[in-house]
Formats: sequence, C-alpha cells, structure tokens
Amino acid sequence: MTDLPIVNKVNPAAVRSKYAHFLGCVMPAKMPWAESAIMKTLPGLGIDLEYLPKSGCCPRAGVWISVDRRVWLTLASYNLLQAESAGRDVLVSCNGCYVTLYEANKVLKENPEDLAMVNQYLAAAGKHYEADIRIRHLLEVLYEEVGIERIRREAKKIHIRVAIHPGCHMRIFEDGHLVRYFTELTEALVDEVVPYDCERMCCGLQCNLADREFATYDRAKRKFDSVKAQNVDALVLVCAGCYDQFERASKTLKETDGYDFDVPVIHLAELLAISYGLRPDDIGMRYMRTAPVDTLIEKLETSVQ
Amino acid sequence: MKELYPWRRPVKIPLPSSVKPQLIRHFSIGLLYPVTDELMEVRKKAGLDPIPPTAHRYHEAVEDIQKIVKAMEIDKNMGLDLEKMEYRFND
Amino acid sequence: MTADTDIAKYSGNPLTKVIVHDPDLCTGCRQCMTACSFKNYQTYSYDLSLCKVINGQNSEFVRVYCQHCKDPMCMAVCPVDAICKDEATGFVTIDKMLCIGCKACMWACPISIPQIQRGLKAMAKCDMCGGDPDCIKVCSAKAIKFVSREEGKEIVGRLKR
Repeated sequence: MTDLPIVNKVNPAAVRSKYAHFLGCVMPAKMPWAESAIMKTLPGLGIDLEYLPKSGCCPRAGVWISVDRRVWLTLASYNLLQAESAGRDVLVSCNGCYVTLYEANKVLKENPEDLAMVNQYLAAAGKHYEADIRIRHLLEVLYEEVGIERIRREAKKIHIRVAIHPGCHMRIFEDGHLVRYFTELTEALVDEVVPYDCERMCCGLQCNLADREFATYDRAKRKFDSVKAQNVDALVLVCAGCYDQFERASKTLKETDGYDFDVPVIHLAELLAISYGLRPDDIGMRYMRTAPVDTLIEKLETSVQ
Repeated sequence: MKELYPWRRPVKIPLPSSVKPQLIRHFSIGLLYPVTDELMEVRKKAGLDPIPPTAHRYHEAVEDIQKIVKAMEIDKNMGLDLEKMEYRFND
Repeated sequence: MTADTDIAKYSGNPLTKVIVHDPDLCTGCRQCMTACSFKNYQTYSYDLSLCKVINGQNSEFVRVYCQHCKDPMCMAVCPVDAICKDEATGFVTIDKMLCIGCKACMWACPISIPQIQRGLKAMAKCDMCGGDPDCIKVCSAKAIKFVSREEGKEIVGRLKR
C-alpha cells in the first residue's frame, strides 16, 4: 500500500482546462488522423491536453453490465485513476467510451459501497481510485470551454456539404445537449449539413454481437444508401465505435457484394484541424480510409487557401 | 419457490460466443485491436508515435488488468485460462 | 367522471409500473434485445429475446413487448391457470412449473407476446426481470422508460398527438 498515487486536491476551477485524452480501442488503431487532429488542434485552442497513459479498453458497458457489473466498474476506474493521479479530468471523443466511463464515474461518486468494492479489487494491482474527477466529451469541451462563439468567429468555413451521424450513445442526456453541440459545431465549420432519412438510426455496432448479417445489411447498408442518396462530400462523426462498424461494414459489403460506399467517413476534429490551418498531410489524412479522400482533400485545401 | 427451480440457478458465468474472442484480446493486450506494422507506418505519417501510449506501450497495464481479473475470479467463473488464453468450455 | 377514475378504469392500478417506448427517440440499436436475451438465456440472440424492435412503416422503429395488461387475455385463456397477475406490482407472469406449453396464450395475446422457451415445453414472456428490467439500463437513447401507469398514459397521449 506504499505506492498509492497522491490525489491532487486542487481547486476545481483551476483544473478546469487540464485534460487527459482517453483514446480507447479504435482511435489509436484505426483513426490515427483523428487522434492526431485532436492532439494538435486542442492545445492551440487553449486546452491543456495530454494523453491518458496506460489506458485499456473502456470496457464495453453494454456487455459487462449484464455479464458482471463489477468488471465494468473496476476496469473503468483502472483507466480513470491514471488521470486522477495526474490531477487531470478525462476527455473522451468516442461516445461509447464516454458513456461507459461517465456512468461508471457517476455510480462510484454516488455509491460509497461500490467505490469501496472497486478499491478492494484495484488493490490487487496496488492502485486506488477516489472518483474525484470529471469525464467530459470532446464536444462539451469544444462547445463550452473553447466556446461555440469563438469557433464560429475564428474558424475558416470549409466549402463542403456533409451528412452527420451522431450515434446512439450521444443521446444519453434527456435534454439532448450533446447532439445539439455536435450539429452546431459541424454547422460552424462547413457550408451545409444535409439531413437524411436514417440520421437517427444506429450504426449497428451492437447488433454484431447477435447477428452480423443484420448489422451489416439492415443497419450499416441502409445508412450508407441513405447518405449516398444525398450526394454529400463526407459523413461526419465523433464516435470511434460507429467508425469501427462503418469501416468493417463497408469492407464486407465491398468484398461480398461489390457495393461501394464512396463517401469518406471523417471525424469532426479533422474539419476543426483543417479550418484552424493544419494541412491534411500534417494529420495523415490520406491513409487508412474507408473510401478515397482525394477529392475531399482538394476541396478542403481550396476552401482554406 | 423460484430459486429452487434447477434451471433458475446460475452455475457459471455464461458467455455469448460472440464476445469470447474479444475478451481474449482484451485480457492479453489490454485493447481490442493490435498494433500492426501498417498501423505503425500510418501513425508515423500522421505525426504520432508509432506505438500509442495505451496498454500497447505499457505492458504493466496488461499485467494489472490480469491481476484485477484474477482478484475478481472472473477468469475462473468464465472458464478462461489466462496463462494459455484458452476457454475450458467450448460450447 | 374525473380523469383519475378514467385512468384506473382503463389502465389498472395507476401506481404499478410499465415500460413505455418512444419511437421518436429510438435509434434501433437493439441493445434492449441483446440485454433481454442475455438475461433470460445467457446468450445474444434476437430470436430468443422477449422484446422485439422492428422496422416501422417509415424510418422509425416499433418495439413489440408485453404490456402487462389490466385484464390479460393470456391469463383468461390459460387452461391450467399458470399465468397470474400480481395485484401489487401489476406484472403478469407465467409459472413454468404449471405451464403445459399449449401456446393458447400466444394465440390469445393481441400481439403474440408469449413464445416457447428454449429447452422447455413451457411458454416464456417478459416478467419485468422481477421489477428491475435490464432493457431499461442499456437504452442510451432513453427511448424506453420504466414509469408508473399514470405517467405512461401521459407519455403515450403525447405521442399520439
């Protein structure tokens, strides 16, 4: 018990803009451009941002809540305690990870007996968690702390038309503020956000657990069809889980059916990075894409020149 | 009376077959996706470290996760051997 | 006749709880179905789930699930009295020790909710997980709510308009 991390008891107002970026499973492995865009853009906007080191899978709350709740709470706190010992709040960009960590943190803050149970298991690895930090979504940080007004004023408009995919877990708050933030931030960065038929529909990631065919054809492909019909330049999202599903589904559809989803799936942070003056090649935008992005990059480059 | 019914009594933690391979990856590398050579190349081009600062880089995080899992006896209940990364029950 | 007695007459005890689904919020992620099939059969299968989320006429989603009726048809039709409605909680449950698996309840139910249980010659239907439904816990979009009949009626009235 000697090597317990010392929890910094700092004034909450002073901690406000110190964040540790929780990457999750998909972002470092499939979306390096999004990770790069967030890490390179946010410090320039006055956000003190570092990586959250030693993080693992969030873990998937949807699975663990029903299998064993203790695993969800304990492994989530294992990820969070690294940020707590550094005196930082956690910034998450993936909706799925956000819900897992936010809900776990809320449960641990409200129930001391759950926190005691978690610490008993964490002691096996010589760790301790106080549940004294906040979990914030990238959208909340951008909208509330950087300020939507500032982004509207400073960001260069990118002349493209996009469709947006908020995702299920973005709707966890009854007032729906995350979805509103997402829509307003995207509108501030691009010419037009085009509504489409299945905008609310789930990407189908969760359906993979039960029925892969259904997830690919009845969820992802329906969404792809609906987006393609609008003839947009890109599909914008912030959720790494949804990206994972879109990537897998577009690959499967191309291999089995020759179905080509030619609309690039991009992260909101990429648009932000470009409109704040980074070049597409600074964030490695050309590689590891679901669809060719050359036309999109041309449009991005001419918009900000 | 319901708890006396034999089919109502939990025997071991049942695990859907679709999450089994995911859990092996979770407990052996800490995350769901491994770092490949192609990824390291692309991460360099994106101006990032080739190996992300997650459990991929810090192997002690994986060891900690395994210690926690053992303390909760989840591995035993699921029939997962953490040394060999194999399930005892393959149904 | 006041509104209160109206509610009592048409929807049973106003304090008992029901699940209400709002198609305007549902994203069709089917997480409630995987949670339900896991709770009841310890696997992820849409066929075994006791609630179903299906495509509606437009691009909305419809959820088919037990309403725990005030005057259940399934209970009325059961030849061996295996189905009962708990007056205190309002939940309609099947006693699997008494059930003979004749499927009469399935035919009698207006939306065919009871289904044959895997591995048993007995019927299975939503039992509200004994008062703490798992499907509510996993719904991120908050499209399904676990509310009293009174509130439920209010929500449904709002949806109809």
